[in-house]
Amino acid sequence: MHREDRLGEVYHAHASDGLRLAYVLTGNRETAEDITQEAFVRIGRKVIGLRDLDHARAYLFRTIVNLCRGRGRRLTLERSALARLKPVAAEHQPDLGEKDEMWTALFALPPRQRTALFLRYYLDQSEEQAAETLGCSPSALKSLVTRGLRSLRTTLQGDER
Amino acid sequence: MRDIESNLRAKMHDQLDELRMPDRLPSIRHRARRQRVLFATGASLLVVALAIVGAWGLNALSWPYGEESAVNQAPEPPDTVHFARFNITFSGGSTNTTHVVEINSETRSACYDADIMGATSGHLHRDGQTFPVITFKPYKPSLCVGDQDADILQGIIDNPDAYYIEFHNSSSGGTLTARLGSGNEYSSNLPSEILFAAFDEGRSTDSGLYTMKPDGTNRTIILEGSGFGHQLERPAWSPDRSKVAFNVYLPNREGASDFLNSEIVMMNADGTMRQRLTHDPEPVVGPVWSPDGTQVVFARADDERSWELWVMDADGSDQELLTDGSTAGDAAWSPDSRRIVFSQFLYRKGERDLYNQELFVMDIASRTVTRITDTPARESHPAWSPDGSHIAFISEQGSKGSGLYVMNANDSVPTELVPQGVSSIPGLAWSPDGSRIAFVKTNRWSNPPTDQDHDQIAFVSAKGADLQTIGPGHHMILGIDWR
Repeated sequence: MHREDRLGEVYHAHASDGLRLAYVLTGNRETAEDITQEAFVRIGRKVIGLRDLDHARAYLFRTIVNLCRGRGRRLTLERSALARLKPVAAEHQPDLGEKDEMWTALFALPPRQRTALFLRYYLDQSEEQAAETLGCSPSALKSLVTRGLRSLRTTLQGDER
Repeated sequence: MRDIESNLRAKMHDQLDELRMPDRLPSIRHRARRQRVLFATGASLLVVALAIVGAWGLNALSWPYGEESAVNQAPEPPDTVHFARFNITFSGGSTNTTHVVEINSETRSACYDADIMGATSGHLHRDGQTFPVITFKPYKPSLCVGDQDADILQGIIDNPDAYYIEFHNSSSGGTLTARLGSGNEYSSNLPSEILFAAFDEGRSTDSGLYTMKPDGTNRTIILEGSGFGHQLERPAWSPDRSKVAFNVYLPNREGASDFLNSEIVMMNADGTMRQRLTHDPEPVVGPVWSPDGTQVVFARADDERSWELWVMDADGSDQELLTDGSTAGDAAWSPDSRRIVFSQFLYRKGERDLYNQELFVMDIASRTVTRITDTPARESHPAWSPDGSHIAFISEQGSKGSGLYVMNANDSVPTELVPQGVSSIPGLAWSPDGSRIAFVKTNRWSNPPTDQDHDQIAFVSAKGADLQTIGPGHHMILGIDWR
């Protein structure tokens, strides 16, 4: 298969799920699209070198997680700088879509817990698959999911009370 | 908790199902191509810049390991490559000595690296004919037969007894005759040689790639590094010992080695025909030849988080990823070429545990990976014994330091050969007959620390006895091979 065809195949198969992951991590659709695009540029050579294209999905997700983490660091710095000048600019606030208690509580979780919940409950990945994507052990993944769910329940039930 | 799970699942589908990635593929392809072009352009500009800088005499910033264009200009390999080694015996002088000269019909060269009793010129003779084809390397006392046409080489290979070499000493006027004899196609019965990379801070002429006999004699530098700025590392013989692959750290702006900029270089075993096999923005290290000599496995930094193992053809083409986000390294082929043993860090609490490195075996055809060690220590640099029955490796266990261990390739009960004082940097190498293991003994972690030569080549029998060290030490030894 021509190398660029392989990239196209991976793109059509996994780009939208990559976008959803980036969106869950950034809360901003435009940023998520940029990060997904950047992830494809970065994994391009690896995709070409991969014998098994199934692995490309894991690479893509891992790259997106890392890029979001890097963006998170930059965003923190930007916010810190802006805070010294003026109130936090609106464009730096997450675009959370429809306001919703569950959705808001999800975005309040640490990024790794959020990613773990997305992989398990949106993509229906097994614990082993999700652990591979996050680069952690299945037991660590399980712990992230449990802590994420517990935090969600505490937040939502606390609101009910 | 279950209601939370179902609510979360429903909410995610509600919020995310409609999200679709727009078609940015053309832009991605354009950027990917542009990166390649930019890198190639950058490399070309770098070559031009280095050439200019080199012309100014700033050798510290030049690329001394062959022309950048050598990869593209490398001659087409002939259909048949002949290797032949001959004993040459000096019939004159106070003692009769026998040495080995190798002729390689691919590179059309033959080199004999030794001081030939002060000789300053030499000629090849046969049946009254004289072939003015012998030149002397300008920088060390060695003899090279080069640039002759293939017919002469073939004649030497076919009938070495008919040839002899006369050496001349211009100061004394003396002449010495060496006869080519016992010519044979490449043979595995050749005396084995150790290959290693040494780095000596502040003694740049001592840094480089060395060969020597296992008894420590014939210690020869085949490629000089220039200390900081061109640190050479992890040399590996090709199976027929005609070539050497290694990685070199290129210099940064200050002239020191940039440890984020390493490339793999291949050259003939005599130091000629240096070719750069990789041109990567990421560091690539640790080339190891497959037993059939057709492929090279190496490690490439993926990003700031991990290293991956890759395999490429021996000319640098057809690079293919082997591992998957594993922070893998230290690869070694099984003698049957079917498997690769390598080291890999484990993860703890979601983070890479830099104190827990284990050994894994990959079946290359199926990409199936099996873990073969299970300790709280750091296992690294595995190497298969020549018969494939055992795997030797280095294990670093906290304050005890690094030791040398061997295990049966089919079980995971290691035997301690050397308890401590083993350098975990250069790795180890089995002797071709599998009876001994070469490694690097270090006192780098001595207390109080010293700033002198820390590393020394050492040997131990595969049973753990007869520990001995050989030759002078170096500040650091950065790789070792034995064939």
